[in-house]
Amino acid sequence: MKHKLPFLISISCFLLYKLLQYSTGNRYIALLVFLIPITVLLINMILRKKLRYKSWFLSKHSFFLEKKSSTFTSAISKELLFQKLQEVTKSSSFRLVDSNSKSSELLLTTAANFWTWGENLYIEIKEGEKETSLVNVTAVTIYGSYSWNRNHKNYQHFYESFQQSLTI
Amino acid sequence: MAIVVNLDVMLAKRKMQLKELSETVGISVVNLSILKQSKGKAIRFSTLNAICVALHCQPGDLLEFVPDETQKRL
Repeated sequence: MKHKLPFLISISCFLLYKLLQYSTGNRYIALLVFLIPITVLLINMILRKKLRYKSWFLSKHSFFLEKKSSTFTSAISKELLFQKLQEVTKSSSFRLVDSNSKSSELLLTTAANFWTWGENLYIEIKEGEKETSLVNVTAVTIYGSYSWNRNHKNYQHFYESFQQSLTI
Repeated sequence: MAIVVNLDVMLAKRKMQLKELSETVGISVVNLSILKQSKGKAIRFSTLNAICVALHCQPGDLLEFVPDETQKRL
């Protein structure tokens, strides 16, 4: 099914384009209606793999993306936790695409499938009180203002993977 | 935590580095560091067994119960 998706999208786009062209009588308007969301999607797909574009996805002006932030505390030091979370990612379904050891940030992605274009998880580790660390996880959709609870599930999956990894 | 892991003490006694132990037992340095700092949630018997074999010690040499303030009052 995964390999048929581009074909199905192409056919759907073509049919919708024809419908708009027929109803408006102007093919340029119909093209424009498609070009805007497709361009946004393409830009997001390109920018999603770099931490430096984090603000683009997490900005409050990005109303077309759903974001969910959660924070948990860990007794492990910031530096050690940064390495630990990288290990946790390797053994989970997430893919570590970018990291910054200076700012203790990680960028994880989920794969695209029939239901979603994929989601990003931005992780930031900060020093907390009494030798603890604060882990801020922000799950964000790549395209779509509603994640169908996938952002929450991604966070839960990540948190559970981390908790399980503490059994050594 | 009331259970303290004396892995650093045993490593010093055996004059072994954490990296060396990691290669011997097949557990990452990160996980051993977490264990050494007593920050782990639980330890598997298989892990305990592997460390005891590598360090030629007993589980009691690695784990120690040190009651915290609330437990001392009981």
